[in-house]
Amino acid sequence: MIHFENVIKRYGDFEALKGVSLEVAEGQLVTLLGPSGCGKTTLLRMVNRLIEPSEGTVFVGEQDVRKLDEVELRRGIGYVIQSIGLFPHMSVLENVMVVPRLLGWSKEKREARAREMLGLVGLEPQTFAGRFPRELSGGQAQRVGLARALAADPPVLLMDEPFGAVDPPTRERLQDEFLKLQSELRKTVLFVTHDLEEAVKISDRICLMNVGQVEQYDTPEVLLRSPKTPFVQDFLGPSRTLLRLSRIPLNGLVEPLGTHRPAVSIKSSAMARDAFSLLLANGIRNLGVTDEGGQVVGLVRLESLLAAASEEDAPAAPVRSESP
Amino acid sequence: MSTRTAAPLPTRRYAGFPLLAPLLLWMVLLFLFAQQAWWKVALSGLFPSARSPIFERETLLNLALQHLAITAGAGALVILIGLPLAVFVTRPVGAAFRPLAENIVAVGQTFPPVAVLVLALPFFGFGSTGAVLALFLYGLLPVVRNSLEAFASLPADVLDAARGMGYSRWQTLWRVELPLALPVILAGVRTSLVLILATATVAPLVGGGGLGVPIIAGLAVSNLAFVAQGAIAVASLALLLDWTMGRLEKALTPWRN
Repeated sequence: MIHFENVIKRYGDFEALKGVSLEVAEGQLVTLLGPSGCGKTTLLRMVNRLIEPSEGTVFVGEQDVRKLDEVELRRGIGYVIQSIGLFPHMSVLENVMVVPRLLGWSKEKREARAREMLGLVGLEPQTFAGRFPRELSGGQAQRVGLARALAADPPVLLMDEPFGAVDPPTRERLQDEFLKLQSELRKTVLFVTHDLEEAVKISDRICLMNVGQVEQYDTPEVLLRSPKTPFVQDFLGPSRTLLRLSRIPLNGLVEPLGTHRPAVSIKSSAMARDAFSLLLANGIRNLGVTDEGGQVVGLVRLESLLAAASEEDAPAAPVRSESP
Repeated sequence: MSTRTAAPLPTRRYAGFPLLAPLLLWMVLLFLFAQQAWWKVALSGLFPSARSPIFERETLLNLALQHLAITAGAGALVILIGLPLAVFVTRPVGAAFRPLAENIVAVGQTFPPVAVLVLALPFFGFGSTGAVLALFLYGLLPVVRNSLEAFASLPADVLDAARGMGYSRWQTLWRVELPLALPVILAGVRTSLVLILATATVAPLVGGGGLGVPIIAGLAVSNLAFVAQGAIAVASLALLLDWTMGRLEKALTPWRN
């Protein structure tokens, strides 16, 4: 859906991007991850032509973006930025209606759509429609930013550190809700972040970048299991195994309860990492697993967590790497 | 943007008539100006020795209306020329002209309006035209300078979002930049208008009318009552204008505090 072909960006003598090729499949959420200055935002902004490449081509769909009218192109792509950039002189509803209005939708249609979008991102339209941006909390403002990006139902979404400016609990909630939304909407999302945990949590695939180049492009599981370069290894750090556990759903590790009655239990919808953390915290080896109703239905053992963490050939999606 | 179909929005943004109070006060003030007899009593009380306590050649109301007309003329020119000028030199095409525009505008204000009046005399002859022109040059600076400042200090993230959403340049200017710059622009307009209104008292030097007439006549015949009459009237108009502009600013930018 989005395709970069040998993209180079020069600013004078400085090469911000040194020939990046990358393919983002339709309906996938791909994060551009890397330290600041690695070129991830530059790469993102080339998709809607806020920055033009010095060399190389960017395709959206099958179209070379340089052959499209830039204003038309941008109206067809959702755009969310860290500082949100809500229009302070417009109400929340007017902010969400911006792109539908630019596309010439009728008043009724765009307003109905904007209200629907507010509901979708968890903001009660009755309460929030008439507010001005300065009357919103950081989390609320970011929800409005997301609603605004989604309002015209674009197939592609560009998100530049969208959750970077909110406090950690809000951030986690926004990530969870966004993931849930994405599982329904199946947009093609390009997502810039410098936060490894965030990338691991939300990505279908991670493109790890450094000094204008792609270091590794893989699913989070593969990236964490087999880093390809010293830089990747270094960037992932010593806790990458823990991060791997955060991608493994607990329900695959549950065993029958038997006669044993564990003192502590965890929801079956949790991730292996949460279970591991709970075991460490309580100094125990077995953990009860409860179903939706809170009934203990099984048990997870420390040994199976260790096995899952060290498994070298865990079943993973077939991976095609595009970088050295 | 004004009518809503679904559930009613809070209406506070369009609530009431924020300009009703200023309007009423303007009517009251003009009504007071029309009471020639009251002024006569008050002024003769203040200046018991004056031969004639009130300027009789023209009613105070007419003088005030002339004064407002001159102010409005110069003010309209300032806005119609100053604002587009500021917009032009903040666009990529006009950026090269920015220093030039800033300098001309600054010179316009440093030049004494009285001198401009006299210099313009050969071109426009006697009457209000020269006065309007001189006042326009004099009042241009605050509007242009504030507008330039307003466009320069727009939040970068909002402009980036506007571009990323797919606003064209022209739409960005109309729907994002101008509305956001409006408070600072209006502050400049307010300063300009008050400045022009107060300075318009020099208009009679070249045969223009207005509240400068009794002041200058009073100076000529050493009648302080005339001077006071004109000065009090100008001052009250200036105060009311300033306050009205403040209200207008609030009414036009409900998204601020």
